[in-house]
Amino acid sequence: MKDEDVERLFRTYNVALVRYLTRRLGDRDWAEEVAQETFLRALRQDSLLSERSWLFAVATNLVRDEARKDERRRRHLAILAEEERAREEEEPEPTTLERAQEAALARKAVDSLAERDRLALLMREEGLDYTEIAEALGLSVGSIGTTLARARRRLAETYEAMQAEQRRGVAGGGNAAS
Amino acid sequence: MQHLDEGTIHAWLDGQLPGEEALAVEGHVAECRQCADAVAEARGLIAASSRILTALDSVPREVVPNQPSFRAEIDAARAEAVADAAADALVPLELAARRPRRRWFNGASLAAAAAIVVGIGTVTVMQRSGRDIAFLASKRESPASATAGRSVDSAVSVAALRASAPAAPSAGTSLGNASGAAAERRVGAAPLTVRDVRANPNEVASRAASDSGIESVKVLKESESRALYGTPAGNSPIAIRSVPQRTDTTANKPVDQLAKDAKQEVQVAQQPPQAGNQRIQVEVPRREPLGATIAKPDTARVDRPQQVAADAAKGVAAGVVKGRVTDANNVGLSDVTVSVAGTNTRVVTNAAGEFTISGLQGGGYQLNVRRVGYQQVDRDVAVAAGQTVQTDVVLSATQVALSNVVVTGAPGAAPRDAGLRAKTAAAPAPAAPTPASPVDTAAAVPTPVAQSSAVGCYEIGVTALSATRNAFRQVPRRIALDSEPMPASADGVWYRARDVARTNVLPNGLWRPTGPDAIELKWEYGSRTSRIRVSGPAGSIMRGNLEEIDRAKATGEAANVVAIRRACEP
Repeated sequence: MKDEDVERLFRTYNVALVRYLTRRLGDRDWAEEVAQETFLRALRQDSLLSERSWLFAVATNLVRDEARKDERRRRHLAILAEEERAREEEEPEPTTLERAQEAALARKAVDSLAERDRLALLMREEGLDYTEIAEALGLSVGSIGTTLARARRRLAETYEAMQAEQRRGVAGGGNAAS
Repeated sequence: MQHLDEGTIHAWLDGQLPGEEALAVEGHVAECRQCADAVAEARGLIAASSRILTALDSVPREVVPNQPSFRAEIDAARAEAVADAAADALVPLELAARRPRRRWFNGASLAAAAAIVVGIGTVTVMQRSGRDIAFLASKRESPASATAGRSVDSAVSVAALRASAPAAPSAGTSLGNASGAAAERRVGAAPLTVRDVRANPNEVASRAASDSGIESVKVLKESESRALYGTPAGNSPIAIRSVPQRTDTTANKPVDQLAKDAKQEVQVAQQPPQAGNQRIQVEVPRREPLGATIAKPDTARVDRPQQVAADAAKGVAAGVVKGRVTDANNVGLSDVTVSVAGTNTRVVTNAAGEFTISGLQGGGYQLNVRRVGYQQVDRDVAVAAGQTVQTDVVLSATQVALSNVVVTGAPGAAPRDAGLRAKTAAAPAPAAPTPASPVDTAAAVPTPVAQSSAVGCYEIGVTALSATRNAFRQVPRRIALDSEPMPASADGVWYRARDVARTNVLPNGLWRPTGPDAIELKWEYGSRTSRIRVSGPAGSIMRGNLEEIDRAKATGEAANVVAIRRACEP
């Protein structure tokens, strides 16, 4: 692909791809790296038939390759924490406690999904249609509805259950004290 | 029909069922209570999971992710607003009022915006004779029609047409206040410099216009530059050519030795002025960042530039804040970020430390003046519409203890943790007054840029030496090395380096040739200084290493680097 084609891809899909990867990885810097690598790989392709599903598929595979290296990931997080300090002066980002708790719950709930369900759901959230999701994940188009239905139900139910548990925990603590 | 399975319901709600199938589902749901309930539940699940996923984003949805590329786009839009405000000042007011509203983030408009960009890009000030007279004349003879066709794609400002007034009797009046007055005015004949153009394109335009022997001033847009010179304005060929090469009236800097491929231009430029047959062209090519146009404009983020443009189009003068940022020794500081608190407005000082913020509504503002290595200064300014406020700022260096650390990288080095620490000479240096030289520079032997052929564009590849560091994310992937010298620092003369792909990732980007086939590149971000040294024969891959030093902690990382010379075209 020519540079200009990749630039067009970048402009069109980068935001969605980075958000998808951020949600998958829980780390935006990492997500940006993977997205960048994805576009670099697009550069090496002659042409892409289905651009969006190709990009999401390659990004997903890159994540999968990386996720295997658990040790690497752990250290990556340590480095990130270190770098966070360097970046703080540039972009302070106020986060409320509630928001942070909500995000933590959501992260747990998303992590409880099966990988395939999770990826399908995240792709759908970025607007990929069933055909594109099927292509990206190597599934049949007919199974996507079922996959998404399962993913959504599981996500919502897990999240609600954890939320209820948290509330009970808070309430229980109160009772014990009184 | 059987009851609908959950997957079908979701597919239907997602709008992913083929027409007739969707109709069948719809019909069934209308009749079957059980399935209607299932659909209602599915709707709830879809909404709930969407909401939960949104909570995963570290920023709320609909707020643009903090992506460099996107920021570059916003910056580009902002720069364009400044450019437009400047360009519009040269356009007759009554004509400007009829201009169509600009579409922001439109590729054509970005490229076409009369490309005076304060603080960005390179500048050509050259005198030319002959061949583009016809082009300008045609613009001049029919100002009204030229402007009627002046859509977003045609942003050419022709100002101050002294010598040609007889040819276009109406030009003086129709060109309106700014340029017309400039044409009449005789300004002192102090030589124009590139810096002038950058700092104040309007003034330069009118000054050039009123200088003797100069007929007109024209701001080139990208396509015209291409048509006239066969090169796009935003790239290095022009940048090379645009090294301040005027020796007489228009610039006070020497002809650059490197402008070989621009020999013709230089020859033209060096012809002795012939009265009445000379013109100055002020070209300010703008850089087009990778994401110069985007698919989904976030209008909320650019409302300010739009306001600026709207004001400019209406002829409403907004307030301007100008100033100069210096260090304690009154030396201008470049690349200082001056932001207006509570707004998205942010500019960076030029090489002389000067900045201009335009488009401010009247009122009180706070300026935050920041540069790495210096203490931030907050300055309150009162801005009145149509007025220019001058405010100068002195920054004092922060007393950061810098360390002399040399980190070298080699293929197959020991694992980072062991290897790096071993090589780290933990000898904290005394507090340094300037942050200019945080890493050892012994290996660098400065070479004048004129003796190097390294000016140009490069693709940078980085291979981390250790798996613990999966990427050097602040390393630019594509850079352009300009021949614009930066203010001298403690360790010699450096030149400007730019990140072509992600324009805002190379703050304080500097480079210098260190030999006939060797270059050194450095930049800073956060508390880190990065330095790349590569060498290799011309035309082949240059190899070298990257050092990245955390100034605060005196630790660093190293990597292998290759740099490949490439065309500067985007």
